[in-house]
Amino acid sequence: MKLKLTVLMLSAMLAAPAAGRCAVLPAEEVGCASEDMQVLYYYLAPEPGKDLKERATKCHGSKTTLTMPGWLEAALPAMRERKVWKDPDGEQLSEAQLWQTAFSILYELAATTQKTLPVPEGGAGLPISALETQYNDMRLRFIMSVDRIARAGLESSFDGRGTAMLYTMNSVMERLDGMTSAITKPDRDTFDRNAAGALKLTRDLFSQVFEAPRAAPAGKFKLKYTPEARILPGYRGVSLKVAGSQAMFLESGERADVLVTFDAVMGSGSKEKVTATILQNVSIVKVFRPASPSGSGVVQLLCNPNEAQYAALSFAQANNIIIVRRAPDDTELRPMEIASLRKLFK
Amino acid sequence: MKTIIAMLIAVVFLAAGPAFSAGETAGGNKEAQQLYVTGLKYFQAGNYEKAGAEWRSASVLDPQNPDVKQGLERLRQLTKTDTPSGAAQGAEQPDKAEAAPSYVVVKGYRGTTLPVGGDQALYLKKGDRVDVLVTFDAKMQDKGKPERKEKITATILQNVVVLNVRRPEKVDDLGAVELLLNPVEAQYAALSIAQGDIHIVLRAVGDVELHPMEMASFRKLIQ
Repeated sequence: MKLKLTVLMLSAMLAAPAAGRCAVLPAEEVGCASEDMQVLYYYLAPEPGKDLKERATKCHGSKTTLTMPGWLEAALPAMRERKVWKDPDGEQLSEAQLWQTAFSILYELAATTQKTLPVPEGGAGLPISALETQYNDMRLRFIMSVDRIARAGLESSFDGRGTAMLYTMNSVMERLDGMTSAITKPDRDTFDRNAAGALKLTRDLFSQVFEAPRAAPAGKFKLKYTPEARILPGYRGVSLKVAGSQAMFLESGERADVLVTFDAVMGSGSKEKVTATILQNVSIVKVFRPASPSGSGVVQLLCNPNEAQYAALSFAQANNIIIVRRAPDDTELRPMEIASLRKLFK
Repeated sequence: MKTIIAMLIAVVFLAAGPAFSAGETAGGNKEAQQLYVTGLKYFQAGNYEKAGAEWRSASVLDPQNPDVKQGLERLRQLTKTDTPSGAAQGAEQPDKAEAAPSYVVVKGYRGTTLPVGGDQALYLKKGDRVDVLVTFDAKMQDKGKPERKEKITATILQNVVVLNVRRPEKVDDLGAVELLLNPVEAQYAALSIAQGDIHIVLRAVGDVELHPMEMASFRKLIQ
């Protein structure tokens, strides 16, 4: 009898941490978020299966069957037909395809999060650090997919639900930033809280399809939450020490040009101070501002590998590095002639 | 110049070379060996998750394969965690408290410390993957003209792991970065310290691609 009691107590103690995690990130919610996104994705597919119109579910309270809304059924042919986006490779994508991309990433998010759950909960017990690359990749693809929907102007899509859905997805971005930041520490509790939030929003996104359109700001969708500026695959984060005055008004996420002044050897062999715009339209990832402009600041720039070399060369060679800010939508690159006082006063 | 760079990149590719020789295994299972070789390619590209997946599959098919055993052990050392459910093992075990992977010097590699400016160390942390750029005075000579010195920048190491970072209190002060390098890379890092200015640039998480890089020179840019 005593032995049995001890065994029971031990099992309860062993189960305790998992139970704590499940309270924040319940396995059922993870599974249901995954199911919701799968259904939404297949609603938009070119040939949705017949069983999709009336689908058995255990994820929607007392409802045992999920019926595709009539308005959606009526709107789908046009959504599948209307080409609203041209990819750089020339492929034209329909309104339905643009939404499908975002929904498929949210499905992937739920399925990946499932792997982090304990084995008894149907997960694989994987530590979050093992999935760092996948989560970062999903984050980036999701941001790009939402950006594409917004740029295609699909606010009125889903029979007037587009704007509200975009705002929900914008909130998912914030949760994704929280999840990926938590992985780097790693802070499992923060990760779980953000994952639970992202999946709750995912489920809310699905439920919007079954409700009347929600009230949302009129006009063009604008991000309420701006995703953190981070280093993108194929690019490098280049830290440059600059005068404190240069760092004072720069903000993470802005775009800038980098100007360097150095002594150039001219044709006659003489040296002349010239200034060149060495990098154009580079993103600012991070900024360190000193307490006063007389101190040293640091700017981390997002450069491709070749630009990174020129940034390093500028740092070693230049007398002066100046970072100039661009307007938010100004991404134009222009050929620039080097500035020299001699040329000016000729 | 390009030859030197090509050679350096080859050095990076050969990083895990001496410890792993695909043709020398005693295991008779061809399928396991094929999986081992695939995993080795992932390992050399720094994709430890995929390398681990391939080698674990190989281990199921041929548990006695010495290469697979050695590979998994190396992977375990490289991304060793305080919990038994480490990332590299990918073991499907009940959840334990998350622990940060501990980045340590593994057999066959060297922990190489580079002095860098505080600004360089500011945004680096253990486990990051970085490239090392070095700026130095190169002796150049155009046809019929006297030899001249020119400052150029080269990417001397690509996709190396940060083991430790020492950030000074002020960005103007000197900091230090310890990198996990193979012995040849360690030599080039030492040469870079002596010969030029070092710049460490940070990669995105999961970005392990290696690029052939042409050196940067203002003269080339301005011409």
